[in-house]
Amino acid sequence: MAKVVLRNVYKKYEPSRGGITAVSDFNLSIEDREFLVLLGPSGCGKTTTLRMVAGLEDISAGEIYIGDKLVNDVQPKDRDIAMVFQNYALYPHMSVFDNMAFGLKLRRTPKDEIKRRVHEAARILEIEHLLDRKPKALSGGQQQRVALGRAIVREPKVFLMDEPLSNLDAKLRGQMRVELTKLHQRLATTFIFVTHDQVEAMTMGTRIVCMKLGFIQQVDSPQAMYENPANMYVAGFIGTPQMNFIDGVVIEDGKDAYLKIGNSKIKMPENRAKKIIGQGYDGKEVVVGLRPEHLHDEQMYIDSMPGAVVDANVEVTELLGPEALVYCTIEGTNMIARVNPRTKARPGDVIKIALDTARLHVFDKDTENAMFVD
Amino acid sequence: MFGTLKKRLLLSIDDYFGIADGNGRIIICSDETQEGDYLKNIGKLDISPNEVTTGKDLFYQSVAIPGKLDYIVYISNKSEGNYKLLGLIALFVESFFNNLVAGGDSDDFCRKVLYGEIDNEELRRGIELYKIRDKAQRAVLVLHYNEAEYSVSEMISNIFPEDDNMIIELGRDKIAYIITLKDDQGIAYLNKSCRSIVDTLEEELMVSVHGGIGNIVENFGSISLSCSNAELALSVGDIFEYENNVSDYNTLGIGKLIYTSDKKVLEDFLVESVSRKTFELLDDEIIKTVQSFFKNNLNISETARQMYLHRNTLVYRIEKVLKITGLDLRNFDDAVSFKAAYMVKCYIDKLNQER
Ligand SMILES: Nc1ncnc2c1ncn2[C@@H]1O[C@H](COP(=O)(O)OP(=O)(O)OP(=O)(O)O)[C@@H](O)[C@H]1O
Ligand SMILES: [Mg+2]
Repeated sequence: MAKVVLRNVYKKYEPSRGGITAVSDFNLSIEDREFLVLLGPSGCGKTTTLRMVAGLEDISAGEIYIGDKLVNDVQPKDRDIAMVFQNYALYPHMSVFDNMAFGLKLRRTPKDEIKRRVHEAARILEIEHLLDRKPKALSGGQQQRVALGRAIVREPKVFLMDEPLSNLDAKLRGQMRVELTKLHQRLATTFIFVTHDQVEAMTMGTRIVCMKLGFIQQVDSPQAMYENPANMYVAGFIGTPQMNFIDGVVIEDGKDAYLKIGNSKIKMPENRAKKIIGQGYDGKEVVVGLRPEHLHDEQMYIDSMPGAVVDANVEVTELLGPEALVYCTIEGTNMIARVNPRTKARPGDVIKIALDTARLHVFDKDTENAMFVD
Repeated sequence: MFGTLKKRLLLSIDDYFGIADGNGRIIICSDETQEGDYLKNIGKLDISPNEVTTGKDLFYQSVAIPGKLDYIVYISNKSEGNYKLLGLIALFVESFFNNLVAGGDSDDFCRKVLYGEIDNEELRRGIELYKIRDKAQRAVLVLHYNEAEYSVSEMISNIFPEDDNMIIELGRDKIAYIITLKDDQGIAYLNKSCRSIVDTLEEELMVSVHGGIGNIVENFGSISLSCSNAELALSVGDIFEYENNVSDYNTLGIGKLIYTSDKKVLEDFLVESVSRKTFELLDDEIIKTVQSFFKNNLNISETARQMYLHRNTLVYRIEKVLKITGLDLRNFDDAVSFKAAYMVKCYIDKLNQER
């Protein structure tokens, strides 16, 4: 159990390795027992960051603390960490017990202690009954748990995981997400988990760090990041289907604020209007962000939100069981609405859509940052 | 590794004998069918490193080597002479794992073959002496690591217990793993194996590991070629083609060409295509974008999707490269020129750094 702190951390690879600055001015304080997820697209610096915490990669500048100890010059093996990577291999001719015990044996841990730790890890992972089996006799999920067991028996203060689920098929991946969350609760230890999959991040993380080109974009709980993305990049990265973006202009009129989208004029609710008025936004070009669930086609909404109704040309509808997706164009922009599966919208229809003005997002068109938060 | 040890022991011992790990799991046995099984009743015996323990049918002795796992050696107790023989076996095993015997001369032989320091006659004799299959599909993985406290070769031989493969230490921080491929195994298998080794070593030993993959060769003498190509992949693979600490000679592309070219020629090439000064005008954001664009086969939509960029932003960056370098990366020839120039620049930087 330990806090992990990164202070002004940079990583610039040597010129001969491309000379790229993979991580820039990374500042983060990870609390004890957090499940922290590093999220972002390929090449944004997630692995580099994790490897610097592990000590497998030198840092070019800054400080890293594990517990209260500055670890810049501490060897990985002395950092009280354990790692789980994507391409793990089990030892095929050893039993599950021996697979988990191997690292401890190398370190000359006393036999009784090895026994205790392996049984404890097996209990937590619910694989006690498999300790005598060989890896070949295990299912994919069980094998993955043995790989986790090898890390657990070290009893580290921090677990570092780099896309450990990405080699698994979709079904197993879903299962393992639940397993890892449970494991985190049982171990009550700090987890740092790297992924480019926003679903993994949203479902497992207690906090998410969203990265872009080596820079932190936002650090927040999954819920907060979903509801209040700091900029268009984060907004677009989190959530499927993606957030809809449409150009608009801010219009102030006395105490009221409007968003002009094409030929439609949308009235903002009072509490939000207050955040807009007097900020010099009048006439400003913005990008309006609407999650698919912020577009409503039910009569009830259309009746209750008269100031926020627009026309939509329906192109395709997709029935997904508990919900339906309506692919449409609004003021010439492609949008997706997530609606009740009993929707009457059919391809070719022009329907009314009410925009959820209490929840839609407004981004500065130049900086792409959110103009206000709730 | 166990394969070499086993061959050597079988050559000199006629009686029933074997080696087990510290748990009693049999690793080597004169009766091969018992390998993988567990020795019976050893829990009740007090087996120590310095003396022979007598059991019901067997003599036992343990072998303790600092930084490595413990082993138990055993031999039939039908003959009194075996009592002394076992002491010698224990000594031999200990030296073997301590590399005093250097894996027997067979490791020495392989090392010479890997470095190409051997003539045809020596090669022929070695293959015969050590009973090596000459014609077989093989490839060499070279692994570099920070000095590890524990035995890397031992770890690899546990990940891949197959007898046919050889693990040759090339120094304190480097090891060659010679893989014999089965019919259905090819480059993809090598790549996967190398990734597994790198990730597992890093997890267990907590040292940073880089792997280079050589090409597939047809006879034993050619492993030196595969080995030097694996090393080549290691030294130029980082440039542009880095991917999770594994570089593969088989997918190195123009990197191969650059590596074998004269430095003067390369410097001239750089001046004529994209100069060093020009590269300095391209910031990290642009370079990362270009990397991703190349990785995605010059596909704009795919690159935009993967980088989470708006298409227009991506096109804007590509046009910026055009303005600065005169090369339009959407155009195949220009993309090749850019990539070659960039790799040459990195390579020259590397040479200068080494100097
Ligand atoms: N060993 C290396 N040598 C040189 N450059 C590297 C190396 N590793 C990473 N980079 C560069 O650093 C940047 C960040 O890479 P990193 O692997 O940390 O990203 P990532 O977020 O983990 O991506 P992915 O999702 O693809 O794993 C990339 O632009 C990459 O080119
Ligand atoms: Mg990565």
